[in-house]
Amino acid sequence: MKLRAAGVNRLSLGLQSANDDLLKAVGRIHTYDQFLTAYRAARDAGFQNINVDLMHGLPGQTQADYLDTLQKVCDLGPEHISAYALILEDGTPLYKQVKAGETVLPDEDAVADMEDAGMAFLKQRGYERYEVSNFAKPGFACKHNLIYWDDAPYLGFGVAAHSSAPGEGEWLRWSNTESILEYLRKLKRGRLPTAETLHIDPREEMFEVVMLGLRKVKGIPRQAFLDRFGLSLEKAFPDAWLNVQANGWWSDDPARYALTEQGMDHLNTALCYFR
Amino acid sequence: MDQSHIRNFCIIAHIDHGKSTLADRMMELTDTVAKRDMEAQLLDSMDIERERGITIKASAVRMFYTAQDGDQYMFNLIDTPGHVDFTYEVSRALKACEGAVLVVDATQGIEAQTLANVYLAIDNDLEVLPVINKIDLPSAEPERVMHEIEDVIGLPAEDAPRVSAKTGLNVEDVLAQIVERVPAPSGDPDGPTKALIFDCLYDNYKGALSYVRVFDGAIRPGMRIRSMATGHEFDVTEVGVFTPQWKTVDELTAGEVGYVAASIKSVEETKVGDTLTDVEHPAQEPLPGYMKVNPMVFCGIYPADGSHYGDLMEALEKLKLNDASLSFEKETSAALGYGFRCGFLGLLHMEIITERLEREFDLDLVTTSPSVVYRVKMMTGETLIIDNPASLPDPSEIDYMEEPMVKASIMTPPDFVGPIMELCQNNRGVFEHMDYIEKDRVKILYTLPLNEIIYDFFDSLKSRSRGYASFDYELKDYQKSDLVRLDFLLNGDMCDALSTIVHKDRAYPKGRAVCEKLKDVIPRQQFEIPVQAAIGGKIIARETVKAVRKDVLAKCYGGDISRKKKLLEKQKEGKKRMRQVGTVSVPSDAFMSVLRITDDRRLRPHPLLREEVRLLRFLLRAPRYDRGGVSRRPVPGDRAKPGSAALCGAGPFRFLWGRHPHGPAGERSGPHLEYDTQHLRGPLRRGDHRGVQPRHGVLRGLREAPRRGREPAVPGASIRQ
Repeated sequence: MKLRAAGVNRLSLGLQSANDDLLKAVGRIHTYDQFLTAYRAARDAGFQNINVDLMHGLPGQTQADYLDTLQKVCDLGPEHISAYALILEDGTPLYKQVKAGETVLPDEDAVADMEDAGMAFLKQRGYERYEVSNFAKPGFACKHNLIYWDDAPYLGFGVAAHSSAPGEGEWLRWSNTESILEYLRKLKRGRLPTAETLHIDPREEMFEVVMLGLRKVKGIPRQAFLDRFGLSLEKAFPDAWLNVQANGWWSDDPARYALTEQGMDHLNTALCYFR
Repeated sequence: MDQSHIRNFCIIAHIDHGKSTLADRMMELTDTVAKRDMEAQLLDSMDIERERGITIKASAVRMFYTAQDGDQYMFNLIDTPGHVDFTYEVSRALKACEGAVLVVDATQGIEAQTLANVYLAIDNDLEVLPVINKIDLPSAEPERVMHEIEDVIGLPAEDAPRVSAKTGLNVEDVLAQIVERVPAPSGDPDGPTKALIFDCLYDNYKGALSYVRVFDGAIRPGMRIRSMATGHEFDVTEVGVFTPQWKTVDELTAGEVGYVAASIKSVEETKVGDTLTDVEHPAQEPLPGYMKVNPMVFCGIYPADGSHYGDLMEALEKLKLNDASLSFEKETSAALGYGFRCGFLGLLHMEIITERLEREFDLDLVTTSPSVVYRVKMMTGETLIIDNPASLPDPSEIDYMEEPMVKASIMTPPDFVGPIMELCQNNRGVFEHMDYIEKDRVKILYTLPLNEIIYDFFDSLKSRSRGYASFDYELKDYQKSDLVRLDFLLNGDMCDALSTIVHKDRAYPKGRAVCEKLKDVIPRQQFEIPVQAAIGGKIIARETVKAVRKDVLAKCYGGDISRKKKLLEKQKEGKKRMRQVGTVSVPSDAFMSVLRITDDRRLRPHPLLREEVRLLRFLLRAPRYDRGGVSRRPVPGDRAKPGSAALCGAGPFRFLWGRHPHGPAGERSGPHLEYDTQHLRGPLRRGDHRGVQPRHGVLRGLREAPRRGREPAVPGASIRQ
């Protein structure tokens, strides 16, 4: 209620799955019921734009499980759904369990099947895919995240916040210190609490624009790329352009650099052409 | 030194029977090396030798021993390589000695390899002194081993010293016996110089060095010498000995052993087995036995990253400086680009070289499947020598082909005779002979095609005999054989690096096995890849690598751009390291898959082994206990009270600190399992442990024992904690 009153207009809830056993298996500390309570409280508080985070490819998860979760969530009718395939991150407890053979993840094909079935289901329920893992009802695409995917400038404030903005002849990305004490100390002395600044040369910046932009279904507007870098993507990455073309992954829209659905399935391979 | 006070000898032992440890103790006892300077096992100076517990290059150490009569004797210990690939080098090293110390492990008995070398020593008229080692181990059976030596080799072993090289127990007796029984050299100190080269070494500062045994005359700096087989002449710049550090001396006289440095550019100019003589007073005849060694096994070696071709060439040239038996020439492959066709004395030699290339020169390599040398009779009557499947002519032009055969001798406990004969039979072996040399030791002789044993024969033998069988072979002759070239196609494109020559009857199973393996090692790509095996265009097996469906990072937001970029970088790097065969990217290790086709049975650990691991883990986590009033943590090898939990060292197993007798290389400390060989012969079944006289307690936790017919694992697996 206070958040809403303070001007917060969008809320994101991490559910991951409506199956409590699966939640437990991946070490989540909440249940489906607790999520429902939170979701209803948010609606009661007046939030008109809510996202629910979901996952597939969890240990022991079946396609039926996943579709059941989607069904339940779609019935609630959030404006936005993020549906991620599980990424096994190095160093996490789950990573160790999987490496030790204690936990078995669904195989590649099963995950792909879940993903495909999930996308079809979401489409049928009126959620439009606009990024690799993001789906929204018309007009509810996440404006915040689109900034990242457009590689547009943003400023972050607070401990461990990241910012990204153009500098002179280069692009800058910097982050604030992760230590709250250092953050306080520096600000009290009138200094910025910057921890690390990355200087990104125009070539790298171009790659980042491609890497992030192609995540979007609508891709990168041709004109936007031209305006930003003064040359077209075909000219900037001639080999990559041809390689993606040879795979038949460019979409037909001449006004945009966007990938077909198949191209998006192989986004990493496509991006490797650009390196 | 007066020849009557010189003793030249070598040590013959099976891998891990304790040769190097015994040598170390001898050096300590003769004050050659102070105990504190003792780096474990000094004689094996190469890393790989240390790790594998085998000796690759022979070397010699001079020691001075004061016998009980007060006289001082010069001992020259000549180290011999201990593997089948290096028989010729062994024979030359033996030639330089008058005596041989035969070390037999009191827990294991005589192995095929030892036997081969003992016969070699006897053929060279060496006085053989048997020594029974490892008597400190509870499973030692010196009596049994003594009888084995007498029965199998026919050497009296009643007086054989029973030693523990590890603890130094009775090693003094070995030294005393060397003085007593090994004959002194009897060359002519004033005759024309004759020195046998028994090894070569390349040193960055001194150049090519020859290890020699002077038979007649002497060698001193300033002399001009001639290598009698090659005819090359050199000026001697330095002579010296190993103590085991370099030490220059004024001269090497008749009966002595040492090194000669001369203006020799490469080890190829002085070959092992050659005789050096004085140019001014040359010997009439060289010492007998010189032979040119020819490589028996060939394979292609390529840099994993094509741009490292130059580095690979440089590395091979450096290795060649030290190893005249290595041969290599440039080769190109459609799949692998530029590389080298290398020739080796045998499979182990090949493994050692590739490992050294990777380790010492930091190279990533792709090796193609090894090939032997085939003789191809053409329709035109011409004979071709083929060591590369890719250069095999079209079958229609070939009249017939011949392949090299070996005489293999295998020694095993009788329980494994069945599985071993089956293995030999499967590998196109022809049974020759079988001998019960003792009630629990059998010697089996087979004629086998060399091409069958260069793949996985040795591994299979070990797995079928639970590590107990030992194996030795010598080249016999060439025999006519029905051979075909088996090719592999990836997405329709032939991959030349995978081609291999096989017997017609073996082509089908081999083709199928390799296709299955390739299916697993080739990563999924954007399209479906048919993997096919073919003989002359006819497809005999097929598997399919399914297409990858999703290759996309699910999540990427502002905070993790750099990290995601690194992931992409990694993926890209992985792709770069892959080889392009037509349209298919193939990882480097796929090319080894042709080689590594083997029963997966050997990969499955024996249930008992798992049990051991469990028990060991349990032991290491066990609480402290009271022992003679001192609270301490139990360690492997501890005896414990019956019924208590720390009773894991029991029945066929014991836990020890120290090196595992069959363990992979490099493990020198930490807990290991030791097998009581007596009781682990034959498949163990439930209840077997009941018959075992407990030496350290009872075997606990033996809940599930393997059933008959189930293949056991190699007891080579080590337990690392």
